[in-house]
Amino acid sequence: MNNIESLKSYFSSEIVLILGLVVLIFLSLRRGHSDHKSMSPASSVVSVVTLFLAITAALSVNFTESQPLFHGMIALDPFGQFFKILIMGTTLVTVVFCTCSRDLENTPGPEFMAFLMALCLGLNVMCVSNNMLMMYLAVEMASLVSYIMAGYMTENKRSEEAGLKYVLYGGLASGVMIFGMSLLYGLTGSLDLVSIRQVVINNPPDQLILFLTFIMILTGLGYKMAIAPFHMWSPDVYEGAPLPVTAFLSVASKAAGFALTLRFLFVAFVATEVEGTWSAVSAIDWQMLVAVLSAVTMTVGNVLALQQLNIKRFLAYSSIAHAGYMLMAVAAQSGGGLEGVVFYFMVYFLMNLGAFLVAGVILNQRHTEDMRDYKGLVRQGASGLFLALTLSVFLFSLTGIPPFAGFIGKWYVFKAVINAGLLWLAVIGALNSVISLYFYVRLIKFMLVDSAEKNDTIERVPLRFASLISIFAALTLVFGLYFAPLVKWTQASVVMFR
Amino acid sequence: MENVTILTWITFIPMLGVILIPFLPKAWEGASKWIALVLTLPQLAIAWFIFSHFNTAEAGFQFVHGPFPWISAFNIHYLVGIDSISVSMVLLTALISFVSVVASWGINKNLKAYFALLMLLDTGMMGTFVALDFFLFYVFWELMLLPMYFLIGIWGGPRREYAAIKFFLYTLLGSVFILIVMLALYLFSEGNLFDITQLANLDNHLGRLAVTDEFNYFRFFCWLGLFVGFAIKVPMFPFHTWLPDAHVEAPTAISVILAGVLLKMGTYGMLRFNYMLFPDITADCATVVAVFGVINIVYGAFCAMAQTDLKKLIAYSSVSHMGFVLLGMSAFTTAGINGAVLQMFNHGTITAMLFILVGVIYDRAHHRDINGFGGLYTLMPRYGVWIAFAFFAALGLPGLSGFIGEALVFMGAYKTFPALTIAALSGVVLGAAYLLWTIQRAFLGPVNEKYRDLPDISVREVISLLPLGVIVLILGVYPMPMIRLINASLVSLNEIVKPFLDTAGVVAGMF
Repeated sequence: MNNIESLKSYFSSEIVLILGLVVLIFLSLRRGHSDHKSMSPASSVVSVVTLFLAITAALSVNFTESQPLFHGMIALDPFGQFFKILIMGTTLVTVVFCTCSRDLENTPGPEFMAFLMALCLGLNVMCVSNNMLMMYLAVEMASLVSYIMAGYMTENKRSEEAGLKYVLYGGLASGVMIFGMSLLYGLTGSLDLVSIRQVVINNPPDQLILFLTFIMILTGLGYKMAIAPFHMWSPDVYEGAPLPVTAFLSVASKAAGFALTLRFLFVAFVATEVEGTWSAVSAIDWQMLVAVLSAVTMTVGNVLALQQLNIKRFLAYSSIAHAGYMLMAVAAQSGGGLEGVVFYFMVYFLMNLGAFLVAGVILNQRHTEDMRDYKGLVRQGASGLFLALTLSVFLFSLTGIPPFAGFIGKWYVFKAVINAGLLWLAVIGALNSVISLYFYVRLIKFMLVDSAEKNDTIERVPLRFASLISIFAALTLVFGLYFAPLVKWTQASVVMFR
Repeated sequence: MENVTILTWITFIPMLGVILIPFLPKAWEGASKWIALVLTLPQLAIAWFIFSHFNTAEAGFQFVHGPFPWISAFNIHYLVGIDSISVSMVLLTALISFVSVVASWGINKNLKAYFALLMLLDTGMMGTFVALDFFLFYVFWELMLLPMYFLIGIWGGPRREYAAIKFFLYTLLGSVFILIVMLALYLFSEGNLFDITQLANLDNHLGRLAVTDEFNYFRFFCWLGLFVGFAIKVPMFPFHTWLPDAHVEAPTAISVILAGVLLKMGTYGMLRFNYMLFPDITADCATVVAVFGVINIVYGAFCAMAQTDLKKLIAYSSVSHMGFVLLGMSAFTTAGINGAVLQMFNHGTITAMLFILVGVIYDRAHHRDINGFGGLYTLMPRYGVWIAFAFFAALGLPGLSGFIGEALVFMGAYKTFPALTIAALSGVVLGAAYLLWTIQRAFLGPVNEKYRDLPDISVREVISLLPLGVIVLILGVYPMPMIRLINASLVSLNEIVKPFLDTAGVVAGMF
């Protein structure tokens, strides 16, 4: 397919995003500096419309085979499409989140939204990159914008710290990654993932150097996914960044990281001997490596979350743990495992964003990130009841107990892992969900069991938030009991890997 | 009877309460207990229908409803049915649910939430006993945890939060093992099954792997995972430490449910899954299970003797009494296994009475210290009669139902494990000791003037005790209806396991 064809029929959602970005930039130039000190409705409307069109464009493309675009720089397939839609969906929720967030009160709307669109674009491209050059460019584009957004609250020291930490870690990680990529290019003579696989299988280079190269690239990817031991940045960044940005990073950025990693691993480093089954290339047995990383990641995330009392740090560690669960499914090295990752992201999207939205409402009204201030929330008026119950649904779902959707996500993952014969990993995962119960339930206990220290009621929740939270909570419950519709979508999303 | 809906009804009728009660206006809060009561009555009626229409000669599943595809991509179905292992538990659950609603009448904090959660718990318990699809079973099994956590954590005693989270963590630890085994069985069975009735067919396991050492290891670890998962719920020594805490802190009605129904799920799960799905491994491990049963009996009894808190004493007596169930189950004689299931039912009714009676005195005196009372017979004669009745039932007095179950267990177990049975008999002596000693300390002796004007037991409290008392008495004199009810499937279960008892041990060969 030539470039023009690629551009007009299959790259449409990215083009829409770019157009939206341009409009937002003009919007920020048009008015005088003085009257856009806040989230203006115009910029939000433009962003929502842009994202809506972009999602529609992504949904309208139908295919089952992988299509190489732009001479193989980008692979268009249902897998990438799934993650693109997930990321754009998260962006859409984030836009709504930003319109009513205390952290972003004094932020110029058009400018911020333009950054958000640019970040969304970068993450979208990450999901479909099939070439190391493209991979690196996409990662850098997403990272640079993320650094700015994490440090957006310029009057807040913590936010500045978050931005700087993010830059330092990110700079190091991507430096290591591009060094690894250059070595891999030197070893295989190609930047294209498919050609790399040919070389690695048929003409394997020196095993030690290849392994080091692999680790270096994994460092960069691991940093994007926030998995241990590359997770150190995430609690501080999550704590310092404006809450909507934290929510966005914890879902969209992680999703793009996983999409990229999966593509890297499953295109360049697997040997498909029989249709539908995989094994790692003989040069690198990455299954064990990923399995160990996953065990470490979830244990680190869960154990460190036990101590947290700041809601943002708490959710940061919890999201590290969830990255560990998803990595379990990657280690399974099977179609079932890929389905597990895809399915897990669907429910993770619902429950994690839901939890962040509730935390956002409370931050707006109470000006607190301390979980102890959630005490007795259930008895603080109708809105308090609503928030406490929905947050409990999200937290129980994050724990992974029926009848909530999080259980089905875990179920998928465990199924894949056991099927791959990694029983020890399943046991570690299971024990981890028991650990996680303790801290999730502690927050639930604060809200539902304990009594409030001060007796004030929660004001009305803005309609935008209330409706989003209700939809997410309802879906979390519905998909926990009847997930057949998601199964089809999941299977369709990984079809081309078979 | 095929494809009748009554089991679905008996399971989901309480869900109406979960949906209706939260929408009651604040002024009508009191109506929530009436709604709960009204919803447990049809359950009782259906339970009676099941009791009278159950075909006692049939060993297979009856009143089956389903299978209906639920998630067809993974072969998950909605399938419920009962055989004579679960029928007594369904009756017990219906009865205890009713009793617990009556026993909750005095709750005055957050009525709507309390009764909605109680109804959710009711559905979860009933569903666990009737589910014949492993996935469905697991969903019901976990569904009980949420209401139980809140019922202990919000309405419990002073250390309620600690007790509630301890209960939650322990039970979840058990159930994640069950989850892993469920998935392993699904993946390795021929045709990827969740259906318990089909999983019970050994050929469905054998398809994937030949009978090799590896296969036996796999099956042994599956057995172990299930066993640990269920043993935590029983609770079997050394996993029993959550029970005293949960019992002491839980409100009366919740203790009743905990002792009456929840503990039985552990032993029920063993019979349904460990015995039906892995008869060969079960046969090999029987002695170990029996030893743990005896430890439970003796250790539980000694712990009970050391208690000064009345509720804690009864909690430990539960540990002791559930040991009889484990011992009876592992003997593989008709008397032993019948005795075990009968003991499950009897313990449910007797301990429920005991907890209600403790609740009665706690509501009045606001403490449960055995040494802090004295001469209560003189002050509360009617209450004293009930206490004596329940205590004698618990210590296994002939003529009351506790005796029948224990006697059958001993008769059955003696053939297989003579030495262990004799050791277990000491549990009966110890049981008599701590119960009679308690009566002596708290109810006889000089009257404690502080409690001179305690009112005697009220009509509502008698209503909650009466059905249990009547059943304890009837089954003590004439246990045949219950034994006939539970016999058929247990005999066939015994027949499945027996052939493996004589053959060379699979597990012994492994180590």
